[in-house]
Amino acid sequence: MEKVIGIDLGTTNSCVAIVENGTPVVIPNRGGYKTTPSMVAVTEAGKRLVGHIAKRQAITNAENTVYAAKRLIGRKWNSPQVKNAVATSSYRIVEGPHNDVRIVLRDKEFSVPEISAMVLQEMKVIAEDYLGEPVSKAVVTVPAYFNDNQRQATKDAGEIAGLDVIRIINEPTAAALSYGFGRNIEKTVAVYDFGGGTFDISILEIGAHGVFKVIATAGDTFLGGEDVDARIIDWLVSGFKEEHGIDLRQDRMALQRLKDAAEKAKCELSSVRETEVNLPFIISSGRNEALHLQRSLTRTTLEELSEDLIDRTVDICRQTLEDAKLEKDEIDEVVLVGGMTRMPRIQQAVQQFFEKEPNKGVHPDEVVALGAAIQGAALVDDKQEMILLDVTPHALGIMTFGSYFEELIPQNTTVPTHRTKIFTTSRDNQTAVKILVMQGESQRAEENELLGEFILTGLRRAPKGQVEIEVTFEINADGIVSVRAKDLETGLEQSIQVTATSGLTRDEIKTMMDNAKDDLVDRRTSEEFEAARQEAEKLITEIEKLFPQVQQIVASSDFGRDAIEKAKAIVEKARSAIERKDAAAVKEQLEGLTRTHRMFKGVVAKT
Amino acid sequence: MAEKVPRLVANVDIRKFRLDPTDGFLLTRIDGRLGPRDLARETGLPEFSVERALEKLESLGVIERIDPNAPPPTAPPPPPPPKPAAPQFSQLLEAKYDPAELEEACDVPVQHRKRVLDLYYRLDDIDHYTLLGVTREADKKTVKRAYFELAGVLHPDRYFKKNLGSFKPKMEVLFARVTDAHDTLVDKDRRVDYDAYLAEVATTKGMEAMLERALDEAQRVAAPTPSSAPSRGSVPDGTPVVASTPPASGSLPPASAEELQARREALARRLLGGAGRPPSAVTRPSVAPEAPNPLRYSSSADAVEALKRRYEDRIEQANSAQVRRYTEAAEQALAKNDLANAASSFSLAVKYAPDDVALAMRYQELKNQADAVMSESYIKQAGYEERQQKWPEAARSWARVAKLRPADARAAERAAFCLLKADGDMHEAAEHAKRAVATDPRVALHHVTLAEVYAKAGLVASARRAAETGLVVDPKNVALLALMKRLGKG
Repeated sequence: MEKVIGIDLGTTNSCVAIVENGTPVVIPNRGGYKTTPSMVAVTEAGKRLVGHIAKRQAITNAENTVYAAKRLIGRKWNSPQVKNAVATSSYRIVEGPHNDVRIVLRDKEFSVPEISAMVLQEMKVIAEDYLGEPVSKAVVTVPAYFNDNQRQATKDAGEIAGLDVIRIINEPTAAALSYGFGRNIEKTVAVYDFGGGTFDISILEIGAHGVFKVIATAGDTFLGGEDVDARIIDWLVSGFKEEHGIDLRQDRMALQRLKDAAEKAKCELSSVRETEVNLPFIISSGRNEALHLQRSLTRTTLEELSEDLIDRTVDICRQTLEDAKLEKDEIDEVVLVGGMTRMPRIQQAVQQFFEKEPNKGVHPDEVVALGAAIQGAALVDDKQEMILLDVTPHALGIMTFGSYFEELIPQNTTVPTHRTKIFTTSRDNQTAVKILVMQGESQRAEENELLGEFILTGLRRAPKGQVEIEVTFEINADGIVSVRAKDLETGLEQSIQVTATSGLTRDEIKTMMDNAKDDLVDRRTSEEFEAARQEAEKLITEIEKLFPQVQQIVASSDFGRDAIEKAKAIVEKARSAIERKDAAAVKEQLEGLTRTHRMFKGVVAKT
Repeated sequence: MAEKVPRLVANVDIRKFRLDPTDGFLLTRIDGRLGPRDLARETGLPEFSVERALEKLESLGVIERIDPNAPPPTAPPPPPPPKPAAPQFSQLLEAKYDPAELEEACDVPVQHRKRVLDLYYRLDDIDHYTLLGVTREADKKTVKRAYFELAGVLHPDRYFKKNLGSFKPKMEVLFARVTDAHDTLVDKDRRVDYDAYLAEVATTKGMEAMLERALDEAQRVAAPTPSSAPSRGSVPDGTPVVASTPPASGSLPPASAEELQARREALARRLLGGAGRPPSAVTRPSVAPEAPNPLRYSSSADAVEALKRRYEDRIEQANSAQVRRYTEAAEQALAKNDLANAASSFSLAVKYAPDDVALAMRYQELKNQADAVMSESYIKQAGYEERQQKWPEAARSWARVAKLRPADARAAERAAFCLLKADGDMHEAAEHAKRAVATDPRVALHHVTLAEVYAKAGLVASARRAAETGLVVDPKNVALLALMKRLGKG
């Protein structure tokens, strides 16, 4: 049976897990960390960096380091969220074809799924290193409130990374799976998921027979830890401006340093009451002197700065409970997920709202990836008795006359499902009708997300309201939406399978996939080479240091001269291999170099 | 093996139980010979309602299930046989699918296929409770458990990336229905709404069958003859009767005069012999018997004459006792606002006193009342069905209303309209629409519907005529004008 990994593709950090012998485990990366920063950078030399290395160089390479790409994925260039990101990001975001978003790194444009693919690829490699075998299937999580376009873009990212994403599941749902897995409980659980970029709340029922039923889910895809960071940055920037009259936002490197410091301060304030933000030489005063930023931030101030954000999450919780038609006391357990839930004020707010001590038994950073791995295993393994009954997070419908949104499948409907409604023509002698498939909760069509469109033609010429068209929406277990329109008079039918647009065409994805594959080969070889080179050069230096001494000692004997010649040849060979960047050849010489080095050291030691 | 059949348990006073009309109606049909399926056919109730009622009655100890081929019990009845385990619902129903469907080449286990097919082809007949396999009283938790069990089995993820063939869409439909059932039953408001709907369905179905039967019997009983034995089984007065022989059925041809004569003479001879035994060939409700006075007659002819008189007197007495009892039962039922039972009792009373005009009028009056209740019920039902876009069902309900209220043009129009929506029988639709037009020709909508029905049936000339008539009523009617235009192009 093929292994399926579970990937939590987070806004700030990502995590990968797998079910091994029935137990879900998080796979640590090469540095031993269980989470990897979702950051991607391109160095001056054109080298791509992902994860911790990308984060480490972010300050010195702010313009070419992408963070929080998840906030852009599947979004249109003209959306307010993208506009906001353009204004606050230290990397360049530009408009791409068909209203798509592109990120510029070292003069090269990347689509957002391509950037996410780099992170996914990193997670895939982490899993492969751990398992010692190739991995091709994955379950990837997304915020519950992601719309179809965002989900599709995430799927595309997986494809570019060479992964078959067998299912996209919601993060809070994944958390609940991990919480309830193998515990044989019957409970109603609320999952409060406050992550780096998004806030989600889901209410689930865990029942007998390993069934997990999502009852309601809601959230805000632009409300997360990043927003709290932004509040701290604002506070720091405005304080600095008052003091020095300089806007730190104008300097991308300063902005990146601020971002780092804000995140650090926020995390520290979860355990201490006060912390110091200290950024020496943050900017030049313009009079040939550097200015420093030094300010202390208290937990109380942070709480004041983020109060309205926390209130927003509580409002969403209240709404979701109402949607689920549940009372607070019907919730048996509240599970906290996401880094932000470490903030004491948030734990307090959740406890106050649900009137219940939240469960802290799950690891907020790892639980989502674990849940994804569990779902992956349950899908491919017949022995796993677990079924997830998920819901549509957004209502689905079509645009009707006057650009109203007519809902066919309401929010929080368990999938698979299908609904039918009858519509009529809106103009006299209308012979064709355009079906605009939309997703969202607004009554105004233009405020909702357009998923796809098609045209039903050949209608009878008749006064408006005469011709009846039956529209059927269907969502299958894989979450794929298909829409059918039928002229009830003639029986003529048109249908589409809504492949949400990630902004990329099939061909584009194909090309990106190929590029990513090449890149993977490159990167792996270069890593191997890099390791061998470093070791070889270290040995060569050591050997060359010992040369004069060894020569002195052994020059008198033939054996000695021979040995020195041999050593010189080995060093030469290694050098040329390094020059050729031939990893295999360098590796080959390593043994000889090691032997020579040991021998030289032995000779010197004896005398 | 023969299917077990329900039979009444002797000496049980059913008055102490809370039975609804369906249960009561079913009780009158239980004779120890008819199986659940026959009962469903006989009563016109859906099989699941019959089965549910039987289970209830059985649990109450009113009925028991016996092997129909076993020898009839002797009176007094032997101790009841050990109660058979409640039969599995699914086993009682014959498979509705083509067994070939089980053979399809796909990765679904056979046992699972049976379950899927069984449910899939029965979806239209079963309510949410039956679908989930829970009782009407089931609480939220029970509903959820049942749902989780089914959802786990029916969700297509159970066979992820396997070849499910034609089972995949079926499982998806089933899953959606099971989910709908769950969502409806766990939501207080929706459940109340749905229960009300089911209650309407049960009431109308039960009442209809009962009234039809009553009408049937009333017609069949020309005059009370000794052979038209009183009802079999338990009647609303609560005296259950155990038949030691198969009871005389109302459908038997009435005995000829000669036969009757021969029987009476035979009886007289026996009585003359002084044995004084009551007739045993016919079972009847226990009417307090007068002790026969042993008299001597001069001739056998006199004796026969006297006996005949006595015998007829007794029949008369028995009849009037029955009439009294049924009338009382009817009035009691009426007092409890149980129109169906009342009407049924009256119909039986009328049967025993066919010449009693007052009684017949009372019956008719009551039947009208019951009809009114029933049509109200059907209107509610139709409303729910229209909201749920169950057009064939809505059409059926409106048709019933139209039948019960021949002067209701709206009901007729709705029936026609729903048939249009349901792609139903256009002949029937045309009948309804015509009636709507005939009843109230001033309403343009009636003409529209009639014309639409004709148009759909392809009767262009009729459609045009109907539309033209409609335009006389409302010359500016948009729908009619449009229709004319369309027909003109035809």
